[in-house]
Amino acid sequence: MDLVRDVLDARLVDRRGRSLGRVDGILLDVRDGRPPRFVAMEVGLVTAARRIHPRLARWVRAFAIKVLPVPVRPTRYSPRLCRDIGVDVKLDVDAQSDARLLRLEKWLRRHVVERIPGAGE
Amino acid sequence: MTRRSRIVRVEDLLGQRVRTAAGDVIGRIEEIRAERHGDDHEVTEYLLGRGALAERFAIAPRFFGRHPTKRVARWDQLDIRRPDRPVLTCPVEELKRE
Amino acid sequence: MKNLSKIGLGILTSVGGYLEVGSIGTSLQAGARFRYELLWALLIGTVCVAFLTEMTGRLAAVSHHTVVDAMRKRFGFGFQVWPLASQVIVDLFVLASEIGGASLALELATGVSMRVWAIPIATAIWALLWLGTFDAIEHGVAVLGLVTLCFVVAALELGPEWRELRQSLVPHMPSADAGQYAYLAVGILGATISPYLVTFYSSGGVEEKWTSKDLMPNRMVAAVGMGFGSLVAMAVIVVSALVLAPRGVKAETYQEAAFILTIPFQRWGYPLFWVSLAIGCIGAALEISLDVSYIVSQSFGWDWGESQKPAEEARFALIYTLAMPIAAIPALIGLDPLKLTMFSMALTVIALPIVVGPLIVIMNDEQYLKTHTNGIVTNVAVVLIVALAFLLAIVAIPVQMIGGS
Repeated sequence: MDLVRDVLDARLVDRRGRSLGRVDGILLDVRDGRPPRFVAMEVGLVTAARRIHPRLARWVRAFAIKVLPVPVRPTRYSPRLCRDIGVDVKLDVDAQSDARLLRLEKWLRRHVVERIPGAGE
Repeated sequence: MTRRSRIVRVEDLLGQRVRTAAGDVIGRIEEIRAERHGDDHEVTEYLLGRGALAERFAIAPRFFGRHPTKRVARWDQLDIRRPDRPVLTCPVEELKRE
Repeated sequence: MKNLSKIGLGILTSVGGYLEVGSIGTSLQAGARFRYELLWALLIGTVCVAFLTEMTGRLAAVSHHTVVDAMRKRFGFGFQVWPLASQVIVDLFVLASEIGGASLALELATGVSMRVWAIPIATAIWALLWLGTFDAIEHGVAVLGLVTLCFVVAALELGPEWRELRQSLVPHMPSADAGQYAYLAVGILGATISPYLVTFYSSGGVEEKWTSKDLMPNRMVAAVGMGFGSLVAMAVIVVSALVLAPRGVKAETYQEAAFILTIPFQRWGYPLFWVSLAIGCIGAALEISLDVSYIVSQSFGWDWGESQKPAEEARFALIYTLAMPIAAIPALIGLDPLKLTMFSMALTVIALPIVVGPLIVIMNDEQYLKTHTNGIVTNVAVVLIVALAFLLAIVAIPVQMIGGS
């Protein structure tokens, strides 16, 4: 697979087709005498900000820690979870039941959106 | 065998100028290929130069000229431990040209 | 039936593009000051926007990607953040102009100051998005948008000089006041070639799950939808040229121009004007607020779509919820909507290259478009028109600012 063309910036979707975000960063484990290992795809605002400027990433991080109700650390997905790489990268996870995933979305749904009338189920 | 390892980010490597041991720039890293080996995904090669960029964008050749150069470095031909300054570990002539 | 719904998307998109505060405002001024002379700007703007909508519809149908999806994946976040940021800023300014226009329409209707209407209008737009579905919004706006055809009827009723009109479709220098002329040309181009049309239309195409079977209808929709919109905008120029210009009204505010339809329609003219303005502005405001949510959500890979309930897409729904109060501020403090409009349109033109440039690259990408990549004519036409608009803008805007008006 081509890490830049096929994986970086691709949308991640779970088993049910729910979006998990985009691959903001890819981590390689560089080992002596053996090929670098593709260890994780990272999704998170700070990782994305780092691609604009490292200083921006630090500001975003400091700001996010202050205002966000959920932990700001990026979510990492192992490439072992990949089921298919095409238009999107399909992962073998379930965002609905896994409390570690879509933390901000779930928090906003519960504490903000569902308190406004007409938001639906 | 040493077990030292360190994490490098693909987004940091992307677009970096690759130098020879003598310090000459031979092109930028435009693509990184990986393959699955058992449970692991391992990097196999790096694609360098404008030809690799043209390939990534899949754009009709009329926009890039006919034969832009693309060099392929095997994983062991490029030292990426310092992602801001990737260095070839072999002479340029040993890289595959496509 | 499905094609009918596509034409709905085309007309909704074009209502947002043409029958809103930007096009009505710039067309009124153009007609009042230069009669038909600026019709050419509208014509080349229309050609450009028809090409752009066709392109993005094609991208949606062939690759199932929206423009933003493809841009982020191809160019990476480090680059894509710039078109994203410029478009969010432009969208907010244009949204503020639309809320201003709709509030002003209600001022014309009731005599109560537009500042009072800013919050009710913004709330109503938000509620339509929060409670409505994409289909309901699309069909509602498309049907109500037909009201604006009254400008076409008015133009025919007043009987334009067809010879002079035809000659004005070719770009030419003005008879007087080149600075003002160029600035209005930029305004018309900005009002016509709106970047949000591009992202909005492709999102609609993906949301309606187009496939390559839809390529032919897509082409028709781009032509019919944009043709419809540009017909109405041209009619506004013509009516303005025939009603305002001979009376020496410069249309420096909407209030000054509000009587324009009373000449052909007598007492129906006044309500028709404010109803058209209100529907156009609210239609465009719905479209632009959705667009802000679309582009942010797609950039970050969140679930997006107006067909889902807000609870299923909390972040998507909260983006337009957040955009609304910000965009209501100018109308609330009573900033002149026509001045804000002209400024927003100029800003749009400045931002065009950074949005359209990467799009052209993607439209030539064989991995996305397979055998349906852009032809040479499309590439050249779009690049030339955008370049012309941009050059005109960087010359005309400083001149306008130094010269003052």
